[in-house]
Amino acid sequence: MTVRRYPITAYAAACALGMRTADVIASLREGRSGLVRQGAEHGLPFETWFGALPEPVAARDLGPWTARQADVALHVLDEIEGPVCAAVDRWGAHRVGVVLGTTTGGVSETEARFGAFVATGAFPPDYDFARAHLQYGAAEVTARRHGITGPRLAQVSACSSSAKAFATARRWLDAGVVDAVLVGGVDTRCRMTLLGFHALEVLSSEPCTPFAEGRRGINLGEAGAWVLVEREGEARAWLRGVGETSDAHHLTQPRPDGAGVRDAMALALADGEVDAAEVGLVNPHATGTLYNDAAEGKALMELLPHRPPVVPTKGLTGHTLGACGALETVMCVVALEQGWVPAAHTGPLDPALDLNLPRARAELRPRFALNTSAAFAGHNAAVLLEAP
Amino acid sequence: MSEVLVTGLGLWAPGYDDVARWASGVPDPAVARPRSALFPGAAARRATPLAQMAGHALGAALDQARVPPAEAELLLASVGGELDATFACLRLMREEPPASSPLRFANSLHSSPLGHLGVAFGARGFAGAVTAPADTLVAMALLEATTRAAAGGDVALVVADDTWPHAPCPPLAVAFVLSVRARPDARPLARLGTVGRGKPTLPPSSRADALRANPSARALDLLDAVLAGRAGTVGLGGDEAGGYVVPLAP
Repeated sequence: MTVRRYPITAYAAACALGMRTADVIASLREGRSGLVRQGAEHGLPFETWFGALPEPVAARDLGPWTARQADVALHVLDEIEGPVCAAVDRWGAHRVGVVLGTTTGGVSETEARFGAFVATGAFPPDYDFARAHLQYGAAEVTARRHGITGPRLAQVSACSSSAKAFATARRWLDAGVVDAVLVGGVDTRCRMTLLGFHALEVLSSEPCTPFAEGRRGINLGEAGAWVLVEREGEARAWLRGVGETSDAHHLTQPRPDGAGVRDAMALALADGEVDAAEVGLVNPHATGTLYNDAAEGKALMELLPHRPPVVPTKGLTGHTLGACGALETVMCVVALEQGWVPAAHTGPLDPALDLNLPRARAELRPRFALNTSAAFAGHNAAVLLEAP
Repeated sequence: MSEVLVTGLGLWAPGYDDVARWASGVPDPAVARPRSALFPGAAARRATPLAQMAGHALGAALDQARVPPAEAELLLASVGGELDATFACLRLMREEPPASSPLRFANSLHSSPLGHLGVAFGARGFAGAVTAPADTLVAMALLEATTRAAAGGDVALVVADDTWPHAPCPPLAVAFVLSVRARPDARPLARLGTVGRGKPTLPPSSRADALRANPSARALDLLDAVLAGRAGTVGLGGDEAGGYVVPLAP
């Protein structure tokens, strides 16, 4: 029986590690963190560390869709313009879909105009709230940029959004409604999110240390990432499986037993018909909070007792929210394609967790990698990737 | 893709708290704001109106489909999501020093209604939230739900938007349970084909006119066609490239 897998034919990312994919990979290889301190000078009544894009993103006139989030999405998309155009030519514009994961949409645009709304009950006439703020905007401008007329939507399941975007892509390909899907994630800095996580008391005032003893919480970050998945093509890696579950436990806290994320990984392995013992790399959700990391650590220890390398990367990039599933999938694809596993950038391992966190980059050739995401509302997702 | 069965329907709109009342066309003036029995006591204070109306509609649809809520796969499609909670957070940010609220921030997420519902239902399978422009929301929601249902689960889709703080939008939630196979004691209500481009052969719902400012109103065109036992293609909205339809058969 033929294994159901789809080739990833192109990818690109920008985050605190770099504005171009090559810069992101170089920083990842060298373990160079992109986190920077932010505080009062950034409009925050507290201090934290943030994974900001290291350079300004060119502001584009996108008419009613104008928003920084759309700018970031298009900035990253430009890097894979050739493969995307080729896919549109090959399959037809109506046979290409777009699925984008995000949480914030263009809320930073609304933040800047909210005073006017409070004062007058309406936004300024030149601000199109629906197109600039709402979460589908970046997916729409992406499709329009390449004349894509296939289905397009935004996954808005908080921090598992862009991991779940891979599940949608796989379903659409399985159902035969498209032949290629641009799968992405983008989230950009907004004060509302920083203040919200601070109110929840999970924001760390120090650089975050996922899975570490004495970890103190998360750092946020911003990023954009696109992955082109096609029905056929030259694989940089394969999209082999996806799993999705819910915790049914709490709006903002994970199940303490880690069963939700464990089951998502198990479903991804079942979807890809891969044995857990074959997993050779995990990029975990690992935000650096006490509860997430404890639960996810349990899940990894239960499902993967052979202790594959587990490489949390949010200590380098910050937690990029709805973008993290796509960004960290790109990191897994790079590892599978190039044959190296990055070092885990964090503190001394929590003694309650028996995990294999590599402390130096290793020239390994894992065949399968898992990327996990967990989210508020208890939504978990895992993406299973296969080396080319 | 194989055909998918519609096995349950649910609805909440001002004046209408169930499908039977909607079908009767006689609104109940007492039905003004959504309230779901899923959220008793303190949970009612935490759950937003969007969560309440989504829960109300989903609960009815799952009951008709004879699907235990804990076994349902939950999908929410909404253009605005939790805009009231988002605007509440934006207002708090204007305080000096800027502030936030843990509950309002958590509730501002698009997927937060599913968080409340997942806990209330004890549902531990697939759940997700999607969004798209108002003109294609229902088409994309049905595409996501039917392709997910094709994998074998009972997908409980709710298409819903609450009132918007920035523009007129009457509250509305419309729910469908979609499955490849109906539960043994449930009666299939209709069969759906694959969502695609095309022209509708069935007319839109005339009863939905007062709710058209809500993007979910297009789901009423499908709901009414199912209730009427019609066959043809139902219009789901569209964009510059054309319209979307879903084939429907009794």
